[in-house]
Amino acid sequence: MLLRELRARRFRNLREIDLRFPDGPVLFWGDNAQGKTNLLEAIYFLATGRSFRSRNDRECVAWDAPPDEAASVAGQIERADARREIRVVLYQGEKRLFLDGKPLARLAELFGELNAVLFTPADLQIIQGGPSARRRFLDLELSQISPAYLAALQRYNQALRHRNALLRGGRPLERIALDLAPYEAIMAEAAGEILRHRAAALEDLGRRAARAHAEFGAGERLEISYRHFMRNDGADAREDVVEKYRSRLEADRADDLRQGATRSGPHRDDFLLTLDGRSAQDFASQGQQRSCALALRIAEVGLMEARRGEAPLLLLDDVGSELDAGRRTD
Amino acid sequence: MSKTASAMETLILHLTKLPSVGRKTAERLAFHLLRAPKEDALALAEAIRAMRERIRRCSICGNITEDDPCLICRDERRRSDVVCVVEDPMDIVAFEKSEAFEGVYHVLDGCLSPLQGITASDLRIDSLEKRAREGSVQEIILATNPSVEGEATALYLSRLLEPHVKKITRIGLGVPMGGSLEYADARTLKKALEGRTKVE
Repeated sequence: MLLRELRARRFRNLREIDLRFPDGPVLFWGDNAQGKTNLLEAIYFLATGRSFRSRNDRECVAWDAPPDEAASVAGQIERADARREIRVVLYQGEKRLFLDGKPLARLAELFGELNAVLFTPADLQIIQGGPSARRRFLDLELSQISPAYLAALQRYNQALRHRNALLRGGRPLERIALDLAPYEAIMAEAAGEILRHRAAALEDLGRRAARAHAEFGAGERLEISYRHFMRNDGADAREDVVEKYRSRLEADRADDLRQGATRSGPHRDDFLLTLDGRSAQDFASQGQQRSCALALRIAEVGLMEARRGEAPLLLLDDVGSELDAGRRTD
Repeated sequence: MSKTASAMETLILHLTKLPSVGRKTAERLAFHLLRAPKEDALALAEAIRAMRERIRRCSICGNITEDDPCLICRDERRRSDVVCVVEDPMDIVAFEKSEAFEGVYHVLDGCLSPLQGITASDLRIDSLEKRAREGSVQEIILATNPSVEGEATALYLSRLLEPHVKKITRIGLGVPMGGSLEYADARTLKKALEGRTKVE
């Protein structure tokens, strides 16, 4: 997959940019605050419809842009099977997506058009950060390769929000039991699908990451294990958990009501990285953690290529420190 | 103060309250009504007034109607023992256009949404339960939208009505007729596969 052209208007500090890219790797170098990361952010926006740095799209609009002018990013993508133009327009707090000039009704329709993997110094957070950083990594990877996963995830999250709204509604359990059941059924169905995808992806990522890690010359063995939401119920990640999870939600109602939140489910999933059986988060040095993060990203590239039949676009931000991590473990 | 004459401004403000009408469109519509023959403009005003005075809800199904009960509920050729549950009166219009349904309807006036604070008591669910309890309904078809909210509403209703009605069905969800499979999204295709039928 290649990016042939990139146009950006008022996207962060990229006031007006028109670029054509040659075959082969492209390198940008320059002083700080010139917009190198913003350029990668703009490209990543085309792949995922959102920023990797901020949850708020407004932050991506140039701060001094007049309010009636739109910020936009457009890219010409060359894939094995087709050429595509993706355009994202941010205008007065709204985001509009276009594929070959036609508006897309949903963000989900954008996923898979441009596959990109981003390497950034912030990847260290996947190892050092909380479970949400690892779920985010997994969700962004899987959403790009499986529309079915993204659909299940969106359904799950929507049903979860409704269930939590009922739990926080201030009504006693006997009054909301009948209302909870439909959302639990939808959550369970979606959760079964999410678990299946995550388990398969993590198994694959684990193999690939271990291989990459070994190639750095690191002595320790890297392993990834899925800490899924049904493991305390004795469920295997490969079995069909729909009915078990639905029963779990039903059994948890009283406790969840006290907490005002749903405590078990894919929204609490995590995965663990270990070096020779010891948690990389707790016991590895900063350098070792960097090589784990890098191995994970390389594994992501491999999985994406295997599943999409084409290598993704690689976006490497400030990559000196990352590649250094590979050497440092020599 | 606005630069527009105040009667004009009042009309524009009312027009902007309409769905998908912004300030610009409202101004264009208002000036169009000003330039149009006076009878045409007044006929529109009269049509709106007459519609609001004459249209009411059917006391049985909740459809919009001038006469209560509505034409569909009064039609003796239709099967009153098969009830199709829809979210909105506009859904009835869609079903009627298809000429494929011979039963009667029940309008919910929306679907359950705890996030927006919409509960069973905000919808026309009591009257549906009452219809089901009366015992003459043989089948209830749940035709809420295939959104998370519509699905949850269908599940809720099926549990609620199960003790009173023999047969509760959900409309088939899947690939649109005349469409192309390659444009269907993954979930639609999955649903279509799950709901596959034997070729007769």
